[in-house]
Amino acid sequence: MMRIVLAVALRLLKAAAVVLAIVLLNFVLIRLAPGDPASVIAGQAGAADEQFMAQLREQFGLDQPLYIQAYTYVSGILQGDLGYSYRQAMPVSDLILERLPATLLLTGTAFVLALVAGVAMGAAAGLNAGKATDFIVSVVSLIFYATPLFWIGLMAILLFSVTLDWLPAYGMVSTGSRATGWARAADIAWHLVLPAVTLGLFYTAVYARMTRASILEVRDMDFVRTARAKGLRRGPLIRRHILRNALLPIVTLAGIQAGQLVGGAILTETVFAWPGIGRLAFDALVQRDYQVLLGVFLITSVMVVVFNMITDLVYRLVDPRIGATA
Amino acid sequence: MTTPLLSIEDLTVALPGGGDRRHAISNVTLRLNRGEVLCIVGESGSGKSITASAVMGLLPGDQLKVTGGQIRFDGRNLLDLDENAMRRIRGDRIAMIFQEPMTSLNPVMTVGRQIEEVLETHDVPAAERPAKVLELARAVDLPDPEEIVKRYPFGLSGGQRQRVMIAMALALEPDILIADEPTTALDVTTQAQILDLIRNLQRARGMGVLFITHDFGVVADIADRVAVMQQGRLVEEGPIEQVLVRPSHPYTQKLIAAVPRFRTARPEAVPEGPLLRVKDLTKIYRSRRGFGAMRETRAVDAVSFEIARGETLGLVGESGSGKSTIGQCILRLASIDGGEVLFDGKNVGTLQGHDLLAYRGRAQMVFQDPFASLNPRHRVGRSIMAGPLAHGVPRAEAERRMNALLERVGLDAGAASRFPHEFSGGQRQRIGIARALAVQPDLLVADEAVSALDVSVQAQVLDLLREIRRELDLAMLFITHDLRVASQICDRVVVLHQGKIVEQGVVTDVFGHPEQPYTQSLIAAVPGRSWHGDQREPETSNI
Repeated sequence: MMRIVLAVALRLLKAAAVVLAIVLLNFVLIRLAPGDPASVIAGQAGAADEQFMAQLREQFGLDQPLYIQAYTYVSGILQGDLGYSYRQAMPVSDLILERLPATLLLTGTAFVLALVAGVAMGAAAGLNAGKATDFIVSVVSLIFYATPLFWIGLMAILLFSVTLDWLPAYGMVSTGSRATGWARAADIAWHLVLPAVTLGLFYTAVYARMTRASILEVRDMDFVRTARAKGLRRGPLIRRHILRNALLPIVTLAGIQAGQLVGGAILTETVFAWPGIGRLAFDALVQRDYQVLLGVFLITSVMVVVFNMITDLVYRLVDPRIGATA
Repeated sequence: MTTPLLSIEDLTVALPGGGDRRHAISNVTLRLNRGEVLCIVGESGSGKSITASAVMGLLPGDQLKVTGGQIRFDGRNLLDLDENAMRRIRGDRIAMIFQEPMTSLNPVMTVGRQIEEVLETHDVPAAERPAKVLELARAVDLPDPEEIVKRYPFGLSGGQRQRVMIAMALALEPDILIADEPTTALDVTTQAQILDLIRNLQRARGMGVLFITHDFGVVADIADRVAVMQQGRLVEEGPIEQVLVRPSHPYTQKLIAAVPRFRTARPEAVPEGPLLRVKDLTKIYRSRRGFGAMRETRAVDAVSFEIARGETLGLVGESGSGKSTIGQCILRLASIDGGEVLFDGKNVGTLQGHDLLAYRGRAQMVFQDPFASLNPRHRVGRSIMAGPLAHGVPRAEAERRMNALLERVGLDAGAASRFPHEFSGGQRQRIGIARALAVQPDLLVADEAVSALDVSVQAQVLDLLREIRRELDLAMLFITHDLRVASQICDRVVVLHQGKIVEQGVVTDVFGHPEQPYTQSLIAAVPGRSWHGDQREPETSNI
């Protein structure tokens, strides 16, 4: 028990170091872009004489050496202060918190959808290798796999919203809707269908292909032969011996996808006008709203690090071999 | 005459088209009686395992199909049963154990649960199962049964895993146990224990055992009757005394003659002046367990020996004895943590750059796995010439050498333009030898070089190594787990146990009159000892 606590503590320490490195790297990268924040503000203000610029620089501390600015930024982050967006006239942390639920709802739904549908499709294909099911799944997942996300999104809008008028094409709630409670939830769910499916399709294909390949590998393994020699029925044989082992690599992949829950939806959010972090980042980039951009970078990198840790822990739970030798 | 427990009649299994023969097995007829151990023996490709799988109904149906014959058990033809009826027989009336204990158990399920599964699937009430699992674990002599059933397979040794397999197989007291090479992957001492266990359980329960093996030593130890298979056909069958001592079929005679035996004739004296001198060689592997202290494993612990030109020194030991690590240290494939390796007076451990390259031109290795040790995408000729070309030999000269070597190892010149997968295991090992010799080394390290080969092929490759060593006046380090093979080819042997030297000396002294208890136990565990005693020493092995 003590060993596990220590192991987790060490992992947290490493994770903190990684996040700090990412913050600093992002900070420097942003500063490599031509023009400093002062010139952006000045540009938006419409007046840009040298004196005003110098005044702005002094006001925001931009005349300080870069390492002092970095220090100020990092110590702010440690106190929960991600900076202030002058463009939106709001603290960055408020902006992010406001947008985070929408993104998590979208990406979380897509994640669960992809995982369930992908594994189910892959299992159906792998267990019926060489038959019609396998062929259909393989073709479908290849199409999902090979088609660009935004194109699928646009085509889905064209088909399901414009032509068939079944599903809303953009936004998270109906315009002008004042529904509350269940009615509001239903409205959101209604809007969620197209973007979530679009976002999930690629990973559905990835899970399906991987599950299929993994099952084909596992089903010829010695211990599956042993299980058959024991006289096991098909159900337990597949569940306990084939699937249980074939799904281990899926955990790794799911961890990678989970890490992109916040940052991976920029395209989809843009296509479907979904009010999430991705849109926020995209707008911030276009408007050169550096504080917001840095804040989004921070949140996404923290998510990746956190989910990597969770993946490692989950792996320890599902595979007894891990942790025994680590 | 009583009805046999199992009778296989005219069984024929077709191979998928395009192979070099049409049937995996054809017209095999065999009987297994109650309380009897029938050994099916043969080389790879003889169809012995396919025969066993056919009885269990475990043939890969999309590749191998039974096209004729019957398998009669309990008054029924097993081939007529549907999958569900066959499933009920499997694990209950007929059980099977396999060759690879390391991979035959589900890695993510406790061993106790895996034993319990047999009981569960054949409808033993849940309340009775835990006690029965412990009873079975005890019956197969697993240490600390209450604790061990909670472990996962990775926490068990190979021998213990095979005991778990046997426990599963015996759970419902089957009428027939099919054992497919169950001891081939185990160390000799473990093998002897598992053979004992199978024999004892078979006697106590009166089972019929169908035992598949390639090893005549194992046959001698366990069989009542023997069936010899060659290329899918049964060539000879009879009681053990008859088949082993007076084999009638020429193929059986050839196989038995090829079985390596302990030789008694003392090897010639070895010339003075060692080419390779190993002094207090030490190799330490470090690993950290969680946050505990660093764990040190002394894989090789202060080992010293010498090899002269024209001499073959054997390194023998079980898995984990450090024998392969020593070979790797000598060739600098692994770093040296202590002591020194002196080659022609130079310290191998500190060689760098050009000196190391030059050393690799003088010391070469033949690896165990002829399938994995050649690049599958390179033509054989390219693999053989790579060494000389890397050492600056002109292409024309490298090609001349390659052709001469291919001829020397018994392959035709056309072999150079083919890929490794077009060759058999024995041919590939010949290519491996040619590859090692292409740089004209003075020292050859052969790491389990014949272990993956069938006995008849093994004998040929051993002959080849022996001749080449003499012709080229090589110093040879021959690493093997098989004492009989070591006895055949080595002048002197070093016996290793857990990284330390137990005993070393002239091969006939060490194996003929072992002084250390460990060496004695190793020799006692060699299968077929009593049978070898009956055999006259073949003249050819006295070199």
